[in-house]
Amino acid sequence: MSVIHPENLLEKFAEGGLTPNEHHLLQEHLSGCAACRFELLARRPRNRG
Amino acid sequence: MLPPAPRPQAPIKDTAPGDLALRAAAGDLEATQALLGYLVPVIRRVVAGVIGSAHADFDDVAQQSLIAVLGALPSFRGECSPAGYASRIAFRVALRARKQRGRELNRLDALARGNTDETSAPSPVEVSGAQRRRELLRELLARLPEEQAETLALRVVLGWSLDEIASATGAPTNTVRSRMRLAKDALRKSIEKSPGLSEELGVDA
Repeated sequence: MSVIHPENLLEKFAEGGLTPNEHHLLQEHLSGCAACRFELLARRPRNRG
Repeated sequence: MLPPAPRPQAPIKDTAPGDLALRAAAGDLEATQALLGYLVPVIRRVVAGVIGSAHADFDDVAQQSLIAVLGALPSFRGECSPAGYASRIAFRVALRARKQRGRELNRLDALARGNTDETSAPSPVEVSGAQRRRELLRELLARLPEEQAETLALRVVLGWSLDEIASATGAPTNTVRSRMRLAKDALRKSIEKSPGLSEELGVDA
């Protein structure tokens, strides 16, 4: 089944801007989502132009 | 009446990448050279994300990507960042190369299997978690529909936000979100099939 991934929280996490409540929500999702754990491990620092 | 005098342009070193790209698109050679200096690392990073920097064809594919970007420059209209524009082109060139190389390797594998029972694949302990993740990502990028693969690559390889991907690809943010969700569904299935990774990521297979 397709799940909703908290992409905005993952972005905020990468930028270090999560509130404690958001951090808790993200942790809860990560505990059951290998794909998002993979993204956090594999994701590189942003490179924009 | 005399035509209006051309507006003086900022020195190249003070020109933002977006303006450099527009000047390059209009045929300004100096701007093109400066732009390439800015884009080459971006292009190499995208190609490395798709085929791996240790790949035998890495330099060739990076070169082909650069040529493709140069060829597409006259069409650049400044609607997205030059890095986004170049990344999308490089991604497509690299993905095509990866798929082509995969077909060639499959044929070679089939030939090798006909001659010997030995396998040259490294054991799971020989491959680190980071290497496994990179390889799984590359395999997945080659398998996914192009829009999903592009979204996943821009997100994971370049660390872009959904809005940035939407802007670069011209797709609504909700479409990008949907592509990302589908790519992650496929990613999860791939992780579950990879014993080392599923262990590392705590997945119950």
